Amino acid sequence: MGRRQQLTNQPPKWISKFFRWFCRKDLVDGIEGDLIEIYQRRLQAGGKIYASTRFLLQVISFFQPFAFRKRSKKSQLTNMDMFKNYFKVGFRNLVRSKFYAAINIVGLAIGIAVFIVMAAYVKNETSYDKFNGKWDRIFRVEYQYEANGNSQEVVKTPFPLKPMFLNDYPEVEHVVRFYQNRLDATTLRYKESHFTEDNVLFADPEVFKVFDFELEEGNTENALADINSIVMTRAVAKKYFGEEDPMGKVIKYKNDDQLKVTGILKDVPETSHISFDILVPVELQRQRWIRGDGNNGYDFEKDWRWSGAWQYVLLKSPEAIGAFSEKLIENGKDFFGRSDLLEYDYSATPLSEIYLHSNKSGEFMANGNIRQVYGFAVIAVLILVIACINFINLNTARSAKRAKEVGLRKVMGAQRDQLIRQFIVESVLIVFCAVALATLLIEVMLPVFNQFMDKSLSIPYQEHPEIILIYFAGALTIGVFAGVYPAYYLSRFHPIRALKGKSATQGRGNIQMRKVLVTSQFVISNLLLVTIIIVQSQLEFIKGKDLGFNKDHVIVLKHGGKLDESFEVFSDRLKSTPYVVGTNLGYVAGTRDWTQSFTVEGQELEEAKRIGIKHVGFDFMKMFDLKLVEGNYFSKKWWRKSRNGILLNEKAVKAFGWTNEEAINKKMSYVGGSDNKTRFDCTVIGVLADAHLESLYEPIRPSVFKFSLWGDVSIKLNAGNNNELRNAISEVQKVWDEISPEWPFEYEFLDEVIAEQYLKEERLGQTIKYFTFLVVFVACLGLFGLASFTIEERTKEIGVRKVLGASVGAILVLVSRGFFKMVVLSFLISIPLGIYFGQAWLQEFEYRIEITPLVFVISGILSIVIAALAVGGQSLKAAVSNPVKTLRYE
Amino acid sequence: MKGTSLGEFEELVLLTVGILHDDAYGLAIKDQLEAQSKRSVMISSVHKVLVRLEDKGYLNSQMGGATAERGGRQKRLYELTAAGKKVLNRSRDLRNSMWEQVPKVVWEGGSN
Repeated sequence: MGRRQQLTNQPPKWISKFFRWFCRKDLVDGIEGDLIEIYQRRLQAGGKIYASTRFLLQVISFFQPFAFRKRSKKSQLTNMDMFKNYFKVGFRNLVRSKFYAAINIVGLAIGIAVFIVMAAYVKNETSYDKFNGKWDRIFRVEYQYEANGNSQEVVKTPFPLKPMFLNDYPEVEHVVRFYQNRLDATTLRYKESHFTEDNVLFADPEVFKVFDFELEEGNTENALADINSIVMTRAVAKKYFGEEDPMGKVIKYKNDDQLKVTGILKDVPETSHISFDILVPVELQRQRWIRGDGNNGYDFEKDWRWSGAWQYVLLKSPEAIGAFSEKLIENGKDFFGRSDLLEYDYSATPLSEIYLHSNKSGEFMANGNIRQVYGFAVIAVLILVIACINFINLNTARSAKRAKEVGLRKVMGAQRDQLIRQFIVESVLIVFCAVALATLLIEVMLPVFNQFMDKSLSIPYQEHPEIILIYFAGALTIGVFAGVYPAYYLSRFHPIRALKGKSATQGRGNIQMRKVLVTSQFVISNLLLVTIIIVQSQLEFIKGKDLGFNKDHVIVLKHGGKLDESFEVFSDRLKSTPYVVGTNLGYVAGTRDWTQSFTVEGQELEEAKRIGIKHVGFDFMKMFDLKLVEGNYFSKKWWRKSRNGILLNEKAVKAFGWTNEEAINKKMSYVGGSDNKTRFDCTVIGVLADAHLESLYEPIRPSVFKFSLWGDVSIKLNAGNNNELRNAISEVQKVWDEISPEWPFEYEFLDEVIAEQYLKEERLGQTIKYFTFLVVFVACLGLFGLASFTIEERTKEIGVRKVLGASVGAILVLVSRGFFKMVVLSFLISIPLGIYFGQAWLQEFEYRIEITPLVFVISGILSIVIAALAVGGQSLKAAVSNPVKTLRYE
Repeated sequence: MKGTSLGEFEELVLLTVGILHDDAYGLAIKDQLEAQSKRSVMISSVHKVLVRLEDKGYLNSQMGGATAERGGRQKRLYELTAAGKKVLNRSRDLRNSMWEQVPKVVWEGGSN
């Protein structure tokens, strides 16, 4: 009862507890006593609730600095001192074991440098077209059509879409159309300066309202308003005008139109998927065609059949895309009321998705590849992970060295969290050294990377000094991340056992962990080895593949149509020299062709097949060593038959369901010509063997070869060596200068043009090779460090074994067995992964290699040899060492 | 000079400690102050000033005299130190001398 009485007379416990928690020890009794006395009085006067409430308020009134527990200044100081001590000990540790410190720092630095370079690359790739302030409102109009089971996505659309959009689609603010004819050479002339320009783009005047392309001089409002205007970059202007002020100067376009320079362009940002050095109004091209130029009054503003323009719409708001898209799909189905044979599927692609996600027919230029970006990002993370694994492994492995220190610190009263803090500080210290080294490495790596990837990346320290801060934060994160496991592991040591010098490693957990880490490291580097071998052999395969035609010693001239009339003369003159085997005006083997819808006699228009059409001359078959499998080739001898005749390739014959013999004399027709309205009738006169005239990314297309003199000039030279080749080319130039002296002579080698198609893959291969080397190097560095450490640990054991008669070979096996087990295991794991990723990459190619076991044999041997180099040297050193020396080392 | 100046409340608390002589602890000081000045005083303010005065060296304290109504907690008993007595004296002297300098006419006249 008394106890109870006492309890009820006391203020609520939780409040007292709270008070005692915050109040300083020397005051707590005196104050609390006073408060309880007051409580007792109030209890008498006003009851329990009143007293308790007032008690609480009073306790709260004491919640102020004078009553708080003092964190004594002395203990704060010790904290700082401890940190200083951590740094000192950490630094001494680094200096004492320079070898391991170097391995740690170099490995990490490489990992970090690669990571940062890759991050810069990924950032660059993903920032395409974002320089446009209105990027979220810009969309490219595209369509897809299906014909006879073939579907094709096209990013160019008919010109009259623009006025229709502006009239009927209220959400559209502006539309800009771009046009470029890559087969056509544009020449400009100012006084004596005369050049061919291939980065000319025709554009609507609104280009500056939609895109943020800037002018250094001139007014974006009306720069292209006049049909006879031209804007160009400073570099181009310099070529023509030298030091003169280019503004307002008149330049001659294709030897006839006079264009006034109305603006100087700032260089188009590299992160633009459209690029150009010169802009000309699209209206200029229209007027040129209307007034003739071989096209007889052709007006593209009225032509719905020709998909010739890249069209970008600027919507009034980003949200309007919903409504716009809906209408586009609905109205586009029957081709905006111009119901055609085909079903059309119109769509709008956001500007921000074009560069990385779009790879359709007629792209402005080869776009990036989101999968490649992901791939690089993964490599970047992997190499950083490998470097961190090394770090963790070496630190835990070397723990025995630190065991005595840890034991002593514990005996002296160090808490576990203090030890953890110490080791994390050490790890952060090492990472900071690595980051410093990495910044230097980046400066070395970036130029090489840029060269491989054809980029101009840099780390903009000056514009964005916060990058340094990010480095700091990153170093701190990696330091803590990589330091946490060793720290926990090291601080776990039992002091007595550690001090006794017994193995401080408790159980096998740590060794298992180390094995897992080393194995996963080698899985990664094996995987990259396999990848690089697959990529290399695919590239070799493509280079060496029999294309079915001979591309050697062929040069291609871009003549801009000026040879159309004089080609016969030109050709005859050339062929009279001993240097030229044949000439062709028309389709150039190895490049893209045109497509037409063909119908067979007696068929309805609906059954038309879309087939590639290649315009060729008399020499085409001979020049490119194509095989005739049936019928005849075009010849001057049967000129009339040739003019209306066509040849098919075997694929086309199959597409129509004929045999080669049946195909001969079949009658077909198609609609085409410069006005796209003329109907052509033709008869099959022969069948050519299939050849990879287009890229190896795609299957061989069904193709029609038609006799025509229209297109680029290709010339087959007769030359056995480089010297003869040079002579041949200068001979061709001599003839060219006589026939058309007002045009510059410019040519390309066909095999180089074709090789360019695979340039992207070539570059990718180079880059992966480079990074694979680094990954393998870092992994080996880790293995090397680990091996030397293990052997150092076993020096005494090896000495004793040698004394007892073990041979060098036996000791070699003994010390390196463990490592080779891990390497072999990781190799086995990487096989299925390698097959999976390799297949995925090869899918892009129509013609590809099989992944043979040889790939794995090679990579397996490679990785074992590399591992042997990393482990072997140290093992051998240990095995041949004199036991007298090793046993004496205490 | 700064360390020697006393606030008004500080002076009152010091004097109260003097008045209570050997039973000067927080609550007793608060009660005495309220009785003398006829105004209510927060117990936390009293303790705050006591801590400050002890830091300044005007007060000394020791523990003693636990009672039942205090829940068995000891009192912290304060006493004036020599410095504390000195500062109180100085403060009274200052006042006295200033009082004497005020002309008599100030107290007596003032109606015109």
